[in-house]
Amino acid sequence: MIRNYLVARHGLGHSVTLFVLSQLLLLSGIAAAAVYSLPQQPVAIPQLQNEPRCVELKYDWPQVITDEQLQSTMFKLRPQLNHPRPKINFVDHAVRCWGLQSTFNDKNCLSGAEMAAMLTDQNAFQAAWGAEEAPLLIEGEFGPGFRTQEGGATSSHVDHTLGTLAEIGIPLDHPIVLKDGASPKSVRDLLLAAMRDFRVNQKEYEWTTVSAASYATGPTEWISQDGEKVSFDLLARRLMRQEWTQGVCYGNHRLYALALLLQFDDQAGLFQDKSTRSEVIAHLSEATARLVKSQAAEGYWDQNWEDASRSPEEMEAGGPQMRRILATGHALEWWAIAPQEVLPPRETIIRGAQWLVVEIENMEPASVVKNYTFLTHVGRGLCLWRGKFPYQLTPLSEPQSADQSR
Amino acid sequence: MSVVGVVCALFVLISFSPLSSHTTWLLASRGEAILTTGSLPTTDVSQSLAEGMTVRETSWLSAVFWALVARQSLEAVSWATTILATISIVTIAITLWCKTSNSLLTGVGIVWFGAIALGFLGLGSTLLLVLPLWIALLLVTLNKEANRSLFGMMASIVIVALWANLDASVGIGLMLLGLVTICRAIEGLRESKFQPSRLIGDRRFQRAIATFELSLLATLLTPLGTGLWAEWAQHFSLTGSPLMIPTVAGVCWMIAALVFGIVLRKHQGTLPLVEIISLASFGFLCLCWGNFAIWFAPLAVIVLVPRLQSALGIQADTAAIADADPKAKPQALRFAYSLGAVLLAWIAFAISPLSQPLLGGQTRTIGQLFDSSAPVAATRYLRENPVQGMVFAPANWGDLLQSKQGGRADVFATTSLRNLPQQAKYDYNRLNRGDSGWAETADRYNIDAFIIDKHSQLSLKETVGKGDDHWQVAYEDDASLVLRRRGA
Repeated sequence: MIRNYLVARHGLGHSVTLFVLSQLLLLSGIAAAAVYSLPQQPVAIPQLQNEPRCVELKYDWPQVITDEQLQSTMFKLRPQLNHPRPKINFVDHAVRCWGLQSTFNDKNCLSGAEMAAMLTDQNAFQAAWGAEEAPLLIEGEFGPGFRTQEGGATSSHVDHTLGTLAEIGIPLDHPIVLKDGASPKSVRDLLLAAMRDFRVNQKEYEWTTVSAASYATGPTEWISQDGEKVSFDLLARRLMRQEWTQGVCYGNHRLYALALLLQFDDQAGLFQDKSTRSEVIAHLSEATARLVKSQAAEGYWDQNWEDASRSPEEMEAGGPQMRRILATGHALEWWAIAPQEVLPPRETIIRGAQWLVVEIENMEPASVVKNYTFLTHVGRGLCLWRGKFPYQLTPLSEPQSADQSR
Repeated sequence: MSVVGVVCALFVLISFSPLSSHTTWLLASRGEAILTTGSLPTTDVSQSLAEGMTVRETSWLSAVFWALVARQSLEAVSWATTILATISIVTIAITLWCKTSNSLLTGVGIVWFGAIALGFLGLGSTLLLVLPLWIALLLVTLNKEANRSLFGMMASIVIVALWANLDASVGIGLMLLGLVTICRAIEGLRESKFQPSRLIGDRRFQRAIATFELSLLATLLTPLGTGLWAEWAQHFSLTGSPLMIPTVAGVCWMIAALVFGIVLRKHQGTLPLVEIISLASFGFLCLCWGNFAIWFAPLAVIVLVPRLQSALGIQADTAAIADADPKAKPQALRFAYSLGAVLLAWIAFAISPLSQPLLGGQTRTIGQLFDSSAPVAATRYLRENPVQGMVFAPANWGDLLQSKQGGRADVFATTSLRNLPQQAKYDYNRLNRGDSGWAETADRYNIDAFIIDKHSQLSLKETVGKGDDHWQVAYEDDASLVLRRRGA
């Protein structure tokens, strides 16, 4: 009886031990799998380089514009913004065109450094706009940012000013000064906030693309506030999604951003998928083909640059001349940074540029002021076609007229 | 004979029912992507706007199945749904007949099951593939003999592994196994007079807990690996719509509750705890989340019908009693019954559209295949007049409109709307309401056509329906209105 009891007890003990051991094994397996399956927080922001990438100047075509014409045209477009309450939109465009290194002999002009300071330092902004004006740099949900589309003292487009800072070579560690001595911030904080706040389907996305591409170290991606994995491939497809003339400046900023992505892809391999590059090239080639077909006999393009068989839509202000300067200037600017394979025949560019030169030459100073933002694109584009950045022409001296030179 | 007749009648009814669930087309698109690339997609392939949003393909096997079926023809999708629904019904019928031998109870059980489960599912749902597995799991876990055997344990694990590859709803199966384990533990404790050491040594308890754990681990046997668990963790939500009582499913639930009450009151002896707990749990969950009716229906019918018979003392059919005794009925009569059953099955098959490849006949039109909620005319329009850019349509129409078998359009949204980024969801709602600024939003997304449901998108129809300088009405019928961008 005792023996039977021991056998039974031993059997039970054996069974329990086995069961407990198997439980330990199974439960640890389940726990390990559960821990492994816990959602990993993706890297929200990729690695960024401190110094922004700069576009390479690939062309120097004297036939597009002569040195004298360039000097004369650019003199007319000097940033005469040294006055109270200069429109931030103008300052933004001017410094993008002229660059950080630009200096001018004209006391009415602001230097590149002064303009950049107005965009990044609340004290400089306040000196120009007064203490009562709401600041340009504000603290947002994701970090600091620029007040946008709220009048003359604010930026004109989403992340336009940030794009400008990137294009003029401001490094990420450059300090920015917010109102009332808020904690020290830098351009990096501006960029991170812009990238976190970004949505692929938002209305204006061209300048966030330019900014991110300028500081990206390679084929990186980041997670937007919507949880989208934003890669430069996705951004390129977004830029190519809409109809040709949709978007700011008749869709030209989309083409500029695409051309810039191609350049930076050459430099750092931004695209993860090789087919993206060929898609972008095909897209820009088609834009070029449309531009070539729709160029006016005089050399300009209009709002209907994608299809001249339709009537151009009226601008809110400015009339046909301004429409044409806008369309022609922007086209020359993006072509200037685009690869050779998407360029039109040389003749097309020369005719467009020469039309612009004549129009600007004949333009009244008041008209230049009124349309300054469009004209900065013209000026920058023309300089790029001569293989230089506008600051390389500074300090500008007043060109002598033909009579004086004789 | 009468049971066969009921099953055949249901089969014919289902075979002629138009397809009402559109998720099939989403699955088919996803399956096509898997078959084309040879890997699981990491974004929602049915919505181009979801690019960049990471999704996990948790129904890869269902997707491949429906893609292969849809490749054949639209009619093949209808046939597949009929066959899948019939498998569930036949399984329930056989189970009930074996347990009750009563044709009336079996027939009522089948109809009750069909009304609640299939009525809720709609024909063409991904869950049609899973439902037979759920029934099989119920049979294995609720059957005392199978539950105690190694075969039952292995069968449970295999079912769960297969289910995990078909759909993420495998968690429901695990829930059942968990309940079985808990019930077994309670029963074990009660039997051992609350001595935990004896419970641990109880073979039945050990088997129950091992089955649960191994089944849980079996859910890792998918191409997603631990991704399925991650999906559960990420998308676990307690939100859902409760069961509406004044509906067919609601009334069926009420009947089940009544029968459950009768069984509890009238049953002689002890009811298995697992039956009481699982019925009560799923019944309660069903009340809170109406979709649980799909899982509750087979459980209720398999448990309650035999228990009701026993509680009320309902006798088996006399024919069935005679069947049980081979000597009681002449061989010729038995053969005649079998022949009659086969004849009934053949008649049902011959009447149904499934006989068309074998017996000939006309293929059904697209209008006959879908119910009135499907955008049949708009689909036809898109096939004849393809749109280059994006198409904005109600999300529940998007499923069919985006599919290779449907409109082949790049739609703004499908019923997988949750996979879209927030901005796109927000803009979908704005467009859906016809808010001001709709044209600018349409430009931003390169929308070249609006397909408006005239019944559900009244404000959008009011706002954009007449067209303007940039948009023109391209097609209109009683259900839909197609607005196209001029020149697109």
